[in-house]
Amino acid sequence: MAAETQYTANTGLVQISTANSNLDGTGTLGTVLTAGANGTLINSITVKATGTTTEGIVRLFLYDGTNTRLLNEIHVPANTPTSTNPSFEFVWNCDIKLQASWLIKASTQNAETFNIIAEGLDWAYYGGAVRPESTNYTANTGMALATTANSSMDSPSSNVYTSLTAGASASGWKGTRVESFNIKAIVSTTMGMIRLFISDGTNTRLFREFPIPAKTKSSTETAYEFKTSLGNFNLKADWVFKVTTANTESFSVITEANNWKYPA
Amino acid sequence: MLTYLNDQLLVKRETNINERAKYTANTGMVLLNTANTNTDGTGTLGTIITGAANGTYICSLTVKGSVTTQRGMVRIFLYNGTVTALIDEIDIPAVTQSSKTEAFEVTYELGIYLKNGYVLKASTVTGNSFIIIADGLDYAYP
Repeated sequence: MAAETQYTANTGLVQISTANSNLDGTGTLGTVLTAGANGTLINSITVKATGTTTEGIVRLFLYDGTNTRLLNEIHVPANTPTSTNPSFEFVWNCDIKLQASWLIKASTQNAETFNIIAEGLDWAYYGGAVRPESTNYTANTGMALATTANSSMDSPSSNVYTSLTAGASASGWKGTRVESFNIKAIVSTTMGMIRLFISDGTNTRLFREFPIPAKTKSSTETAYEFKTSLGNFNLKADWVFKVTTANTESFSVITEANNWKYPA
Repeated sequence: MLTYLNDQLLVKRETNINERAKYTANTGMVLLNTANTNTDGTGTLGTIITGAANGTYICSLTVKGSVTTQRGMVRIFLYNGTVTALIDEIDIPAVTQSSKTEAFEVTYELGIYLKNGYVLKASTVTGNSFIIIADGLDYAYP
């Protein structure tokens, strides 16, 4: 076997209109898109109001089949469309590789109607032998909810949350390439820290720290969020990324990564 | 790897068309906490990563303090099985770590190839705790 990449458009579309002020994934959500078998490359997510808006927030979530975690919040201004003034519209160029079968969901703070459109591409691989070194990638999206404080800087043993597990070597994965690390608070925050650790199964060592500012969320103010590139860090197969929060405040931590293997 | 370019079709950021190689992630990690002021490769050193059969490509090296640090130095050595040679020194500033201030952290983009069996090692002058993490890729040929 070898691999050549083939793409299939996967456009997600949902209309939401039921008010939901929750940031924890409960309440009414609309399903925007479901990822394909190897994952789905989501280029952009468009939020388009169909009428007058009051100041509020549209929220985007990830769902892994069990947990629903906040991914992003989009502030919506007050706006009255007319024949010459368009309704609210926002395009988030997210460039997310979403793991197979995972869902993007959406909610609206206010009971106003929005169309949520995701531009996605599923990818697959040609099954015939092409080149022995042809590489197959499968999206590996990590997701954790860090809630309880832990100030340990080395080998934290409690209140440490697994944010990503690299592909299993026993399944043929050669490692996991980590692209980005997304921190999204779901509560008001005080000054603190999110810490990222690497674990080899025996040792859990500090890798990065991300300072958290004080920010008060409300029905019109988004909670703190931060996204950083990890520069395509190559994490060894079976190794794990873990996170802690310095304060007992809830953060949705989403890691965007891809496992790779050589099918030939 | 897959990525989008603005207003363009999907392109591959990386392709194996001309590479003719297979890569396996080789993440190196070590905790340093024993003071060693030697520059000649003697004393306590931590092993960061060892070059694999065809060699290991080191993409980056991260030095992360896990405590308040005093001004000092982290030293990087190359060991070939016989000789331990100093190849770089990283200045460590005094940083007071707290729940609101991150400890010292630096990442270097290396892009170096480590020979089979060669080892990257490290030491700390002060005995402050540092984690050294190497982002490495072993490579093989089909």
